[in-house]
Amino acid sequence: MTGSILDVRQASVHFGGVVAVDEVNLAVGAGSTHAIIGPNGAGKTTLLNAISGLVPLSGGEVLFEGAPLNKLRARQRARLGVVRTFQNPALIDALTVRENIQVGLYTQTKSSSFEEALGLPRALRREREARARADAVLEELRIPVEGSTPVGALPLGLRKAVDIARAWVAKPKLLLLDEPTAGLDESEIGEIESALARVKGEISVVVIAHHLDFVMRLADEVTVLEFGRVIANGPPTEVRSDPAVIAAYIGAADDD
Amino acid sequence: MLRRQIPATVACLVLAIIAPFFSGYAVGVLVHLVALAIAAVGLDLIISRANMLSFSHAAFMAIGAYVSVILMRNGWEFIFAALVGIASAAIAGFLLAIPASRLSGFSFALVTFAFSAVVTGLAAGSQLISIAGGESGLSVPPGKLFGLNLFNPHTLFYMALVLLLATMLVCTTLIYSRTGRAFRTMKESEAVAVALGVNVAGMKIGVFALSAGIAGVGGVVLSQALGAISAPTFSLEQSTILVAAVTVGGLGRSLGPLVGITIFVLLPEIFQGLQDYSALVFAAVFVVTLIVAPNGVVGLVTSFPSSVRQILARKGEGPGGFGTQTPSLSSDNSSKVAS
Repeated sequence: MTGSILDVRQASVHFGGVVAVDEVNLAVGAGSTHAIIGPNGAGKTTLLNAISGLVPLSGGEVLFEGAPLNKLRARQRARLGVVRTFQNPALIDALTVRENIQVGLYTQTKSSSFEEALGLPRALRREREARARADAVLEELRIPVEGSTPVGALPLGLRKAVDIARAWVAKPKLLLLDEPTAGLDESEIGEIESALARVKGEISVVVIAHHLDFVMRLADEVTVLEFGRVIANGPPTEVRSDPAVIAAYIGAADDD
Repeated sequence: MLRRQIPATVACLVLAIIAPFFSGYAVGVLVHLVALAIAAVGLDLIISRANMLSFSHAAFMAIGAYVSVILMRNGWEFIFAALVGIASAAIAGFLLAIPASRLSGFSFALVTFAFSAVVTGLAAGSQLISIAGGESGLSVPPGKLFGLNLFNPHTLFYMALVLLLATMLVCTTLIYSRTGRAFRTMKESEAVAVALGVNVAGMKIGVFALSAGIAGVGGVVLSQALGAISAPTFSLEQSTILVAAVTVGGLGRSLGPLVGITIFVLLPEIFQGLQDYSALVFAAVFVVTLIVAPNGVVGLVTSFPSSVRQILARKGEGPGGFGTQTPSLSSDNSSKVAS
């Protein structure tokens, strides 16, 4: 695709004899929101792990802004602007919302550990800037929580929102969201959706979600995986009416 | 951030004020206590914040002590000998962490266990007897710092106390800095830390080297307090006591290392008559604390007022309870969660 920020070409991930991702192709347009859906065990998170560098590809390649990522480690990809969230946010409960969001600025804060340990002026200045940036992101995403609230006191919906803010604060070029709506009620899903809608178009987003209405409203393009393979790809309305998708995914949901 | 340091600072000030009223022997015990507390602060940093359990911190104390003493015996000024000793401990920690940082949990702890055995074995063995003195160890030349004689227990005590405060301050500042948040995220999930751009292996190596260097500071102070050093002073048992002390004191609490070490240094003084059974006393203290206060003595004491408040509030509120409503993401900005 012309103008795509992310190209996944013939990507495969094998765990021993298990093929988790099987020759998947995916192209994410710059500034677009691309959803990946599919039943449990379809390989969605494994694909996201492969894009972010947490698991190596067994075959194929991942191109970011036209350059191959395969040989880069996860932290190097993050420094390039490929940042992700997790199903389990792994926030630091003992710290505040603001401090947790500041972790997302780790690669962008220019002070050394030595300066920080001694509390030297440059480190303190950078700390103040990071704090202000974290507060600004809370406002930007309209997350209804004070920056000074301990994260341990938050319900799951707000924890997920703080996780997104932690990834968003670094202004990544590509944001990978792994199940941001899992375990949330309708109103919380609505808030996550609103937060993402507010920043839509500013950066490219790849989002894994089970909640179909959320996906259909938010995504510009949808890829459907089943048993590690792509069974459909295209605009949400097109994918929703695809018989293979209905059979593999929506049909299965209806059966439930 | 610095307010978290207030209890430890107050404790040090109290020690500083009462020290002049103590005898030379008692102050000697206090210096011993502060030296171990310095090492415990470094150990607490890696156990509570980075999930790295180390049984080698007495070995790093040994490196700091032996290197500084050997240099002083060769005519070096105390300050330079101490700095090289501390740097040597940090470098040893750095070198140990390079391979060990690939391991986690039990495997990592085992490597530090083995390192401790190697260091004490070298210190006591015949291979380095001309340098380290073998089993009989080395006598320590009295150091001088800015014209003050460290042979005087009170002078040494105040120097040790300043070093303890400085160490705690540096660790607290670091823990609440960008680097500290990164390694605390690493403790929660290495995958999350990596995905946010953190060099996890580098972070582990760096924080372990810092912790080892801090233990080296403790080693230098202890060598001055003892007047003579030998391998048993820095044995595997000492490393184990350090781990037990930070756990009993309260992991991740600013006063935890000092309280834990105080308990473990004062116990032998109190139970002098039970020398043969001292290990039993240590074990009993450790087990009872883990059962009664899993967050350590400091954790127990600090949670006591809030527990009482909760009980009183429950009585006032009746069976309905209070404060069960949790903040929701669906609420608007006007209902922000209070901190």
